[in-house]
Amino acid sequence: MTALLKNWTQAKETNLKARRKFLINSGAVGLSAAAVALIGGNDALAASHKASENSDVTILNTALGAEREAIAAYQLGAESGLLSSGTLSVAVSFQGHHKEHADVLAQTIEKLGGKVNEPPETYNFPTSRLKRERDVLEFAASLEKGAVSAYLGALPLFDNRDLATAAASILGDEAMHWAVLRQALGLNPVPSAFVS
Amino acid sequence: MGCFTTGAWFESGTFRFCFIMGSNFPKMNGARSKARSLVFALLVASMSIAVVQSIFGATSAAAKSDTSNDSELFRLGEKLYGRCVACHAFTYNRTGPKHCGLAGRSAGSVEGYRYSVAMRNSGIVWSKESLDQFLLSPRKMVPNTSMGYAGVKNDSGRRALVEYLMIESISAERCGGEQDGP
Repeated sequence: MTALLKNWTQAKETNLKARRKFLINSGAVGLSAAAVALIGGNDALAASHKASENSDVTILNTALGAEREAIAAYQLGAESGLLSSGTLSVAVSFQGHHKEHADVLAQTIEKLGGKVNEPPETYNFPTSRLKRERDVLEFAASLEKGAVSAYLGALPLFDNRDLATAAASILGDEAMHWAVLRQALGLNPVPSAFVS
Repeated sequence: MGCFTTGAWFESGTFRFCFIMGSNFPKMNGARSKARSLVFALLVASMSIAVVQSIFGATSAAAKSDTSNDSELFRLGEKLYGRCVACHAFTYNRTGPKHCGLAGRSAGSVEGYRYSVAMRNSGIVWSKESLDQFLLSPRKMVPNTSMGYAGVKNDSGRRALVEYLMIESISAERCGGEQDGP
């Protein structure tokens, strides 16, 4: 697992460098239209979907709730003292992704004229079952797998196709998290040709 | 009288059969007649035993098949429940409400969970039928529910998930004393 975590860390650093370079060179022009609409706040796009905003806002708020919970779960894992340094680095990286997802979702809800739900005061986690690093990884993998299913299940519901595209982009990220966690657990990282 | 004069008794397990021959066959006298009767009785008995064994064998196989089907259905439901764990757990509220106590519960009634107005006012009581209908298309059954999930469109998969939820949500092992509380 140690060699694998080393590879993760290297891959993460390479990824970050490439990303910075890309953003500097392109000025983020390379981002998808949907992501631009989400992050930059394309008011015209948002305004064009007034009729369906209630439905989409509800779905986005539910997704935001799940992302916030994932952030809290990774925080729990990070503070558990059960993670080795390499695993901790990856966990913090994944948590960062979830924070980005949550920020984008919240911004989009507001752009659509919706109200961002308040986060719960506390989160319930099966802390009594988390006794070693493997337990934390299994727990995180189950959440990531669930997130993939949740986004997959939400995709057909979006009236705004651009939101569906953006949600699919997040789904891809969650699926990568799941695969990496499975690999770390010694499981087949990609167990099937389809996700459900 | 009866079987003793015109046929023969045969037993197989808890069943006893009487093969009546006297009135159905040409009348024969003496040892030859009795011998023929006995041969015929044995023939019919062996055939009957085969039929009985066949029936009981089939019943036993069907019972095994039912058990096997139930087990397969449960395993499929358990697998499909993996889709739910992004938002749900059995014993505690998450993005979605907990599932312990779901069977027979009024929708929107778990304490401490912030339901959508739509779900609170739905009037649904969770049963196999209502859950099946909901999971087919949650937002069709309860427009504006916060459950942002398109539904389980595959009938057999949905049935398995419903069975699994109905069993596990009242399972003492799974839920312990959780059924009635938050």
